[in-house]
Amino acid sequence: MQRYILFRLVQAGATLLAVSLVVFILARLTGNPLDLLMPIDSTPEQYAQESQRLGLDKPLYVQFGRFLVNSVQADLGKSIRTGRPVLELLRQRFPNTMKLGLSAMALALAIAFPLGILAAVRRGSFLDGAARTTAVFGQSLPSFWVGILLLSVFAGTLHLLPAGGAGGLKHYLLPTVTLALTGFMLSGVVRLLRSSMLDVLDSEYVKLARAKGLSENVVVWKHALKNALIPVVTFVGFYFALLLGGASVVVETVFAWPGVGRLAYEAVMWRDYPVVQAVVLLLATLLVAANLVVDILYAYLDPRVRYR
Amino acid sequence: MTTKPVAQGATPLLQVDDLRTYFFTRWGVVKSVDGVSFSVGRGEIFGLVGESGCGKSITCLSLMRLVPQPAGKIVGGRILFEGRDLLKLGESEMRRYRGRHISIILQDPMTSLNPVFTVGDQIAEPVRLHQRARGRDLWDRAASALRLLRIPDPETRLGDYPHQMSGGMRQRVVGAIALACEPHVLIADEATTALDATIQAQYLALLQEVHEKKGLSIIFVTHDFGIVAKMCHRVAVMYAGKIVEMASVRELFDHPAHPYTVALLDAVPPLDYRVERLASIEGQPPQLYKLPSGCSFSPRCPRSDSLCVRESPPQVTVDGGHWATCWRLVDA
Repeated sequence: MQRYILFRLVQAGATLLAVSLVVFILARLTGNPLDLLMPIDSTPEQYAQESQRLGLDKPLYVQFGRFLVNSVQADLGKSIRTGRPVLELLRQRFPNTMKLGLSAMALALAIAFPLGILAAVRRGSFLDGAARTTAVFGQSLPSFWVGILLLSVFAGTLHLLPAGGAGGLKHYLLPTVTLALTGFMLSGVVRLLRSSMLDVLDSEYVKLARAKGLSENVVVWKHALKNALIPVVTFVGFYFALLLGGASVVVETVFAWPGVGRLAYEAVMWRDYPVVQAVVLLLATLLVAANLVVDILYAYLDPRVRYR
Repeated sequence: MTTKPVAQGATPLLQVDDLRTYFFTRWGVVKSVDGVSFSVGRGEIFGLVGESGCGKSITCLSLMRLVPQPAGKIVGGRILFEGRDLLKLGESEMRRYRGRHISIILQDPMTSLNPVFTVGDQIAEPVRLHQRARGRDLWDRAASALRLLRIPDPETRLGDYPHQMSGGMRQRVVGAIALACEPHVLIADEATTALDATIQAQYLALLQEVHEKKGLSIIFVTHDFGIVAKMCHRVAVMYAGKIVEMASVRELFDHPAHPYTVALLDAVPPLDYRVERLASIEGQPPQLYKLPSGCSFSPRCPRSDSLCVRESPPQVTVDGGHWATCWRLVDA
């Protein structure tokens, strides 16, 4: 078990190293931030001076090496645009993203769990059809479109909810619903839970559980569910990381939510290398961490893993 | 072959009359169990033999009213347990019979235990449900169920998960679950098929022992005539959803009357001399959703003629409790 954990940690480190290299290069492929930042009438001398101050005149491998060495010492550099320390930006923005992500996940799971289970239990019923339709729609509707639609109805036409920004509970409603309904958390869990529940309900041990005289509720919610959850847990962890990463960039931008997603969007627009790198690394770390947590949860759910 | 005393009580413990279980599929109605009648006396071991897909397992599941939903449905007949028709009970009443009065051992020990609960939990579950045992008493009963199936060191084994046990051990656990509430009828649905020969012999001896100790009735479903000879008092041969012959074990082996039974017995390889080629029955069992007219066995039967193909065969009494449904009985 210790060897396994060690192996996983090395693997995680290698993943993050690869990610940082890729994002480092991709960011620089977009162009030079100074083209956007410098006043239009600046002289080549001023240009070179600024380039030197930011360290952009060094060869790429030197820049990358410096970035790596500083990163492991928790120094993520300063924003090229605002000059503020990147760590401070993240500290300020990340809680907002987490709060939005967690509330969206809670809402999505609160819908997905009963829907997936009941769809399997009442296979072929109206509810089953509705669940599957929901899953397909959730998967295929783009979040920016749903977000804008909700905005124009609830904020625009009806004037019921704020159009953007963070504040009270009211501000959470639209972005949470958008994030929960679109993307994979809802649709993926519904479909996965339904199919894994169907498999399990068809199994011999469920037959035996019924033959013991247990009520259908005990059979479904105790014997079947705990087994059906095993494959689902993997994806919940993974989807959550996806939700924080991909979906939040779009949804936070649409709703002007002050989280890391919008920070990433702004940083990309301004070619703010240190900020882009830091946000992507943060999200990658989350993804890796989510996978580790999932594996630990696995052991709790599945005794066959626990003893290996 | 050994003869065992056939227990004949006044009223049978379990009596099945004209049981019909159909599956309504998109290809048509599959008559898995089509007019099956038999009875099982107190302390009797009743064998049900036949090829795969002949309706043995569905008959068993029908007895527990656990036919796969939603396609399967018991469409007719009676299942009298101590004189009460199980088919007339409400679902919650029926649950009080399952695991308490009628239990089942399923075929595959590798898949019939729930992987995420300890064997102790799984054995204790029906005891807690039906006999309202709690705490120390509950665990003692679970342990004694394991002891009954001769699992060494039962107290420690209760905490094990199924994957920590061998196949033979797991099947004993399944047996312990079935017997934990001391049922009157045990259905063993191919209970030893998945076990290797040595473990199978041990398991059969174990069931025999429990049978003698507790005096319970067993419905033994198998396709192995060796097991029938060793375990059963009476036996029914099933083909395409119907019982085609019923007799005491001795009578069936000595004077098989139905051509299908004869063919099945011929297919058992002899132990005392080498054969070049194992005897087999020509053709395939019929598709249950498009049965041939007349006798279902007629397309494969060496004795069939135009009458067999045209008309369903009558039930003919051969001798006492020995009958077969056939136009062209084999005279023994």
